[in-house]
This record gives sequence, structure tokens and C-alpha cells, in this order.
Amino acid sequence: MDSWTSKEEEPPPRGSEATMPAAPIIACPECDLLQREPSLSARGRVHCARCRAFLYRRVPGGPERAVAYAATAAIVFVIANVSVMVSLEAQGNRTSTTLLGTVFALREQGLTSVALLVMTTALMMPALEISLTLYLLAVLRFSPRPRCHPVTLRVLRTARRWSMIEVLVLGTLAALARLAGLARVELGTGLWAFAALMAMMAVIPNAFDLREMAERLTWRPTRMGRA
Amino acid sequence: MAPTAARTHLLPCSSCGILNRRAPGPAAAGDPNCARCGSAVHARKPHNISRSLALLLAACILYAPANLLPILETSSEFGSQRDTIMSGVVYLWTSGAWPLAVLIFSASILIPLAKLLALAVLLFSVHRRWRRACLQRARLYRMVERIGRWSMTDIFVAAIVSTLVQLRGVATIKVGPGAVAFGAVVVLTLLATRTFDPRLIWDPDRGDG
Repeated sequence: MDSWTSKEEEPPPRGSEATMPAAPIIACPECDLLQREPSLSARGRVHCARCRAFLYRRVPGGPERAVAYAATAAIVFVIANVSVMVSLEAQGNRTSTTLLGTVFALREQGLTSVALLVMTTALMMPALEISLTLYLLAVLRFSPRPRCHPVTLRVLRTARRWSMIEVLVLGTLAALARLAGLARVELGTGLWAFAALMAMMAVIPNAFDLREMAERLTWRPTRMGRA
Repeated sequence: MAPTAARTHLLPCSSCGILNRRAPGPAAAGDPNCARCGSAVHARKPHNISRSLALLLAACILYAPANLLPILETSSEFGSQRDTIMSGVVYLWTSGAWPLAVLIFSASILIPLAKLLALAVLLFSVHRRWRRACLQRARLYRMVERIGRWSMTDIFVAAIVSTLVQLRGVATIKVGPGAVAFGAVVVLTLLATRTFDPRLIWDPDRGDG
């Protein structure tokens, strides 16, 4: 994993065309500095020369690895959501819950907003992230390649930001640790599946760079931006 | 002076990353669209300081009920108990579960507070167009962005605990109204972080053209 640094480079040459699709110059999304992309042989994470923000990742090879990760994530996601996450036993009483069970329990307690928050961050956003990743990878396979709407990339970025599987796993473990002294607690298949899902979600960005994806996709024709 | 997209009349698309050329002179009415993917492009996120500040103030206001209202309400044969975030941490600490106490304290008290302070400092520095410590402030912003999500931990803890502890005749635990306020603080600070445009940190760097 080599990071790339460079001296600040001169501004791009002024041309007459409205866009510069071939220009190897990019603007850092976090500090706006224009800089040249490193040579094509470079691999790994590319960082901004000035503010050190992560710019993008060179993914060697084709999208096969990403397809494998995303498909695994999809299967594990289903398992995680249909099986019991944790169960608790005390004085002959036994309770257990799935993620959706927790959402409904919160709703029954009258906390619809908290239920919605849990459902969005632990269920809907991960589902959206996995399905959009698979969709974009599938789009790359088709020929002729269908045109993509720019909203897919935006929604995928948002879904990545709001999916909090790793926080859910930590929270569940903390809840178990808290209850362990009072009752007998058991980890269910669901929690293991969520842990596996957490690992998959962590590696998907390694094999699937959004910026590279944006370059390879065909976009729906739009009216030229005047400006 | 560092060459930036804004200074060279280029508009980077936040959706697909391409650089669009912008005509010098007065801006045209309406947002220009990216020539490749058609998304609306802006040199800086529109109204980002005021939007971010509004979200931050809302989060600050809700921070009080988030910490004062109970987040867990326990009722058992020994009576009922209402725990705020802080009293929950104290309970965990005194009952010997100190790693858990440290975790909940960091995720629920330290991180939200640090986030509110850091965002306030960033907004103030950008408003006053500070030129110093740009790299440190950029790193601060990235840290806020990275750790922000972890404050959701306590929401998940409360949700799981209250779902499991429904033991008839022994004990039941309910999520209290504090969780609503706390969840709102988390969401508002995440949105405030998102609305803030870190490029403003660097705009006054080495003389703004």
C-alpha cells in the first residue's frame, strides 16, 4: 500500500472544450487543490498532496473481487436478518430477538423515531449499499452498457455513510456484556452473520472504488451545463 | 498561491469527480450541471456555514435533554429505576464492568461533546478566515467525520437491552425519552459534519485570489 505525494503542480492548460475527460488532473474534494494523478503503475490508496485526504484507490484487476464481496454480503445480510441475534434466559424466562424484532419492540414502546433510526442505519442503508453495489457491478457487465443515472452514485455514497453495521455489532456486544451479570445470554447465528457482514462491508471499498466506477459507467445524456 | 479548482474557474463534480469549466464573470442563474453526469455542481457546498451552524445549534440544544432524560427505565420486583446516560456509566463503573463503562462514556459523552466543540471551532475558524493550522484543522474535520458514527453505540445498546429484558414478573426495561433526544443529537451532528465544506479551511491559504 503506497501513498502518493507530490509537489503542488501548475494549473491545467486552458483549452476551449467544456470538460477535460482525459486530463490527468483532479481536484481534491476536501481542499480543492488541483493535482496530477500518479502514474498508472501506482497501486493502493492515493492521497491529496496538500491536505492528505484520501482521494481514491487503485483497484488492480477487474471487478470480480468486488462481485464476490458484494454477493457474499448480500447472502450474509439475509441470514443476519432472519436469524436470532441474541437470546437471554433468566428464571425460566427466555427472550430472543432479531434485528427487526428490536425495531418492532421500540415501536411498541412508543419510540417510533428511535425505531426508524435503528431500521435506517442497520437495515435499510446496508441493504441499499449492497444492492446498489451489485447493480453498478452488473451494469458494467452488460453490453451495450445501459446508461446510469447520476443519482445512483450519490445514493450509494450516502448509503455508505449511514450504514452502521459495525456500530450495531459493537452495541450488541456491549448490551450482552451489560446483561451477562444478570442473566444467561447467548449469541445467535444472527450476530455472527452481522459480524461477517461487517467484515464484508469493510472490504467492499477496497475492491470497488466509487471514483473509478464513475469513470467506467456510461451516463445518461443530460443537457450541457451552461456556465 | 496553490492552484485550486475554484481559482482556475473549474467546477469539480461531487458525484462523478470530473472537472467542469466555468465561464468567468457573473454566475448564471441556477446551478450549472456536470457535463458528464448531469448532477448540479457547486464550487462550494451552498450555504454551508449557515446550514452547518443551524444543525450544530439544534444539536447543542438537544444535548441537554439527551443527557438529563432517562435513556433506560428499569422496573423489577425491587422497584423501578431510571438511568440517564451518565448514571448508566456510573452504574457500570461501580458494578465492576469498567471496560464497558469506558466504552459507553467515550461513545455517548466524549464523542458527541468533542464533535460539538470541534465543529464549533471549525465553523468559527472558517468564518474568521484563519490562515493558520490548515492541515491540523483538515485532520480535525476528518477525525470528526470518522468517529461521529460511533456515538450511535448507546442507541443500539438501549434498543437490544430493552428488547431482551422483557421478563414477566422479574424485570422489564424500556427505552426512555432520552434516547429520542440523543438519537437526534447524533443525527444532527452527522448532518452538520456533512454540510460543512472542508475546502473553506484552505480557501484563505497563502492569499486568496
